[in-house]
Amino acid sequence: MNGARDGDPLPISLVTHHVFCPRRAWLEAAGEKTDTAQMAAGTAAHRATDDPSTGREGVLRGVEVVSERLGVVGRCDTVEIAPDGTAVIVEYKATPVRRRAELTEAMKVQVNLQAAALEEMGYIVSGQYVYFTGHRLRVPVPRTAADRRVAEAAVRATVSTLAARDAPAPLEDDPRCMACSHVGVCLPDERKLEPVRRRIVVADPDTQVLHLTTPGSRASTRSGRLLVHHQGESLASIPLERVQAVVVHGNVDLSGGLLRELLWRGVPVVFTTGTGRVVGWATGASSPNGASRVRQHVASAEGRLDLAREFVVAKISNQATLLRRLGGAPEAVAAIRAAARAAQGAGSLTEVLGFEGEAAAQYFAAFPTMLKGPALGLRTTFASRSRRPAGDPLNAALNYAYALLLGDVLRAVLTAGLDPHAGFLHSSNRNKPALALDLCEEFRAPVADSTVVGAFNNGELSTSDFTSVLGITILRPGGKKALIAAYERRASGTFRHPTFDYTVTWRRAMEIQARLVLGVLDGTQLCYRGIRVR
Amino acid sequence: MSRGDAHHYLVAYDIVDDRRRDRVAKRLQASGDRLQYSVFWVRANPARLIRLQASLQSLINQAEDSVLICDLGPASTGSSGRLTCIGRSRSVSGENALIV
Repeated sequence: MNGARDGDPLPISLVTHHVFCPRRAWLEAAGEKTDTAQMAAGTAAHRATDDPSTGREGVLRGVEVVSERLGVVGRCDTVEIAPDGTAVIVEYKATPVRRRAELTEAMKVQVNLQAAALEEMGYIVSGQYVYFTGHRLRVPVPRTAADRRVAEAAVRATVSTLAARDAPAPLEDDPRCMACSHVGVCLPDERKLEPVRRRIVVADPDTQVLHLTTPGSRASTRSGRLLVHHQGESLASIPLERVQAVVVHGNVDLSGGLLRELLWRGVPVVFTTGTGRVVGWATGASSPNGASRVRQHVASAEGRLDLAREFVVAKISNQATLLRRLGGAPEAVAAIRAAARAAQGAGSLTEVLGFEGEAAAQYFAAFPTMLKGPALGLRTTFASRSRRPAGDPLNAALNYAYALLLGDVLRAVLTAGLDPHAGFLHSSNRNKPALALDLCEEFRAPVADSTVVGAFNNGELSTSDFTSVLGITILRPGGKKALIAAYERRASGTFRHPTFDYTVTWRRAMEIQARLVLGVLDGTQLCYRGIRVR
Repeated sequence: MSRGDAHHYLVAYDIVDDRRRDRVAKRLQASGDRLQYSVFWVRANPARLIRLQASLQSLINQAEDSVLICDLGPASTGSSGRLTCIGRSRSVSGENALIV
């Protein structure tokens, strides 16, 4: 069940979107928000005052209409009161000029519902039109008995879709997807988990990720910009609307005003310690897909072996692939691939975890073979993978890179409206963000490990970037910045997604995978497929 | 590259009234960087550009003031090539991750 509870009236706009595409209405009712030029143009057009037929007296704007009989509420752009007291509805549309000024099914339903509601409120409707602001053309909307029936049926269909347990399937190969504002969250072509033939390119978010790393610095906001100061000196100043994410490393102050602004804009903030451990995150109150979150918790409690298996198989495959490409331990690669094959057929969570452990042991034992060039010296200091405390530079760097990865995956999970805590592979009992950690697994090798190995191998990171405090190895400030820069390059770098066979950034891939998990939970698709890099 | 990609824009204004000018400057500060007294460098995708234009329209006096928006092309081609500064220059926001 999504959107309104039983008995709440439906927005006419939601019914309109349902006519366009049921899934579009579902996504909107679930709270998914997108921002496209189309929508901005629509908003701007509604402020336009250059319809030559208005400007007379008796023009009402933004008229709220209600129909209890149909169970809808809406807002008419304009209602003109004619001299004889009857009402004329004029709905503004910002259809691009390159397209024909034609009434769509959705427009007809919208205006028919508005007229029905207005009549129920006691008005006599003598005419109804759509005004195309780009074409400057007024087109009458038919209101025959058939049109009214279609409109009422559309309301019933919308109620039925929103009350259903599962999300509606996306349209298949439909040209409407090309112009849909929600294509980036719907992912219509991805649901079959096959190579995608046509590619609806979702524009880059065109935003920056901000890492606050200077201890004692302070981030605040003023005049729509994010400012960073340190001891009176300005370190950075960027427009807030260009901030995609903020990661706070260690002892950096964030003003309350800035935090509030970021949350309001839907930008989650992740906090890590100076040594690279995620301590928490702040996310806005408004989060989509509440009903799916409930299903997530139920599924997590019941256990979903298929998801757990897929996370681990993808993880292990990618470890093998990285080792094969960069390392010199073919026996380890073969052993890890064998573990992946075995995990594919595992019958219980315990078995899956067992194969994960086997693969990890082989992988980290052979890890030093990936270190080359300037990093050769590190082969001896790395005894084994030791999470905390980190006893050598490689482990310290891996810890930090994994924290950066976790931050990105957390954001992807939160944006999709999922709860980071209810997972399928990691146990929720350990008070860690289990789902976020689950989704990290397939990215560990190709994103975090490869970043660390690459940074050491080409000299961006060296032992001089680390220092030892009470036996614990930590990154120096310069090394931290170098590692973050290397990670960012990787995360915003592109690769060929093996499932869909198109090019995408690693960061966008994390969002896609999070939405695929959501798709399994809300019934959009049957199974999940992790990224197995070739 | 797609229709929704960001472009770089040069926004220049001539505003008669002091208070209006301050409000326009403040609005532009929220979207871009100040290059000169009344010239801004804005990087925006179509949605943000439309919103910017709408707010500028409501802020100015259409009869007395003027705002010029010049499209410098796709942002993906980089900003450094297009901007040549003689004399005192100000920096513009970067394109990539900001590590501060």
